[in-house]
Amino acid sequence: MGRKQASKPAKPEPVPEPAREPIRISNLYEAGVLKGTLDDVAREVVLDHGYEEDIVINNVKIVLGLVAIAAAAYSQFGPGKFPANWWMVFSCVILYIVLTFAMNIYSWKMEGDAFLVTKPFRGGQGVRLSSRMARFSCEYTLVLTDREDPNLEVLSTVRIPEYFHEDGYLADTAWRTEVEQLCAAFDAKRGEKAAKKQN
Amino acid sequence: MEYIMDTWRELRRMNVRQMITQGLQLGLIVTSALMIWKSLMLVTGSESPVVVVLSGSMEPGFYRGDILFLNMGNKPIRTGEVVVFNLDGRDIPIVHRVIKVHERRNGTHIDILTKGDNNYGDDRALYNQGQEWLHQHHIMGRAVGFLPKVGMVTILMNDYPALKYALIGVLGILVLTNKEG
Repeated sequence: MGRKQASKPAKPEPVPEPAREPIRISNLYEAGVLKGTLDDVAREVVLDHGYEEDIVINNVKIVLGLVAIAAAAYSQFGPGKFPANWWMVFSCVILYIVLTFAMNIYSWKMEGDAFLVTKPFRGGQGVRLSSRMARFSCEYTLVLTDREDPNLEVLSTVRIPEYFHEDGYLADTAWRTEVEQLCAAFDAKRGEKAAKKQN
Repeated sequence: MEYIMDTWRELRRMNVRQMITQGLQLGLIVTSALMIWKSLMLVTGSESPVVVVLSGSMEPGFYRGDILFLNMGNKPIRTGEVVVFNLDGRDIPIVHRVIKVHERRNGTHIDILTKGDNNYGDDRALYNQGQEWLHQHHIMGRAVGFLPKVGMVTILMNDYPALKYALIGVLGILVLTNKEG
C-alpha cells in the first residue's frame, strides 16, 4: 500500500517515517474547522487505500484562475491611460467574467460538492469523496460515490464528539479505521453490483 | 496566540497544490474587487469613479473624509460644477469648483479655472509653474453624489500605512486557512 508523496502533508524535517503530528484543534466550537479536519484525514485514508487523485480537474481550475487573474492584472497595469483604453479594459472585464464563470461551472460539473475526485481504479471509474454536516449539528456524514454511477454510494454518519478528545486532539486511529471500513464497504458494494450485472 | 500557532500548523500541513489553490482563491477575491472597481470606471467614464475628499478646501459643502461619486459624461464643463482634476505629474486628485470657463465657438478647446469654496484665492497657486488654466484632459469627472465621513478609513490608512498592511495580512491569512472553501 504505497503512500504517494503528493498526498502526504508537507513536513519540513526529513525524519525517516516521522510519527504523525497529532492534530489538535484549539476551538472545538468551530464547525468549519472540525469538518475540515475530518475531511483532510478521510482524504488521506482514501488516497492511501490506493486511489489516486485526479489532478486534471484541479489543474484546469488553476489554469483558468491564473488566466483570469492575469486578465485582471492587465486591465490594471496594462499600457494606455483611461479613458483612452476603454475598450481594452472592457474586454479584460468581460474576459474575467467569462473565465470565472467557466471555472465555477467546470468545478460544479466535475466535482459537485466533493472535495476529492479520483482517477479510475480497480475496475471502477474512480470515486468522489464528499461530506455533509448540518449547521449546529454534531453529526457528520462521509459519502463515497462512484464517478460513473451515482447510485453506487456508501455513506457513514458519525457523531463528531466521538472522534475528538476534550482537549482538542483528533482520535486519529479511530477515525482512520472508520474511513477504511467505509472504503471496504464501497468495494464490497461495487463487487455486488458487478456480480448482479453479470447475472 | 493559540490561534496563530494553530493557523501556522495548518498552513504547514497543506501540500503545494493545496497552497496554490488557496492562494488562487485569495487572488480571485482580490481581483473580483478590482473588477467591480473597473466596471464602475467603465460605466462612469471616469478614471477614478470614487474619491475621498482630502482637505477642508470645500467646506462647508464637503468635509475631509467625505466620499464623492464622480461621473464624466459628455456635457461641456460649466461654471458652478464641482469637478475633480489631476494636475500633470501629480496623482492626488483635487476637488474644487469651476469659476471661469473660456471656450472656442467650435467647442474644440476649453480653458477652466477652479477655486476651492473655502480658499481665499483661485487655484492658480496650485497649478504647475506657468500653468494658468486647466484643460479637458485634466478633469477626471464631476461630483454627482457624496457619502459623508465614510472615507475617513482611507485617510487613516494613508496616514498610517502599517494599518493597511496589517489589514491585508490578516485578511490574507483568514482566506488561506478558510476551511469552507
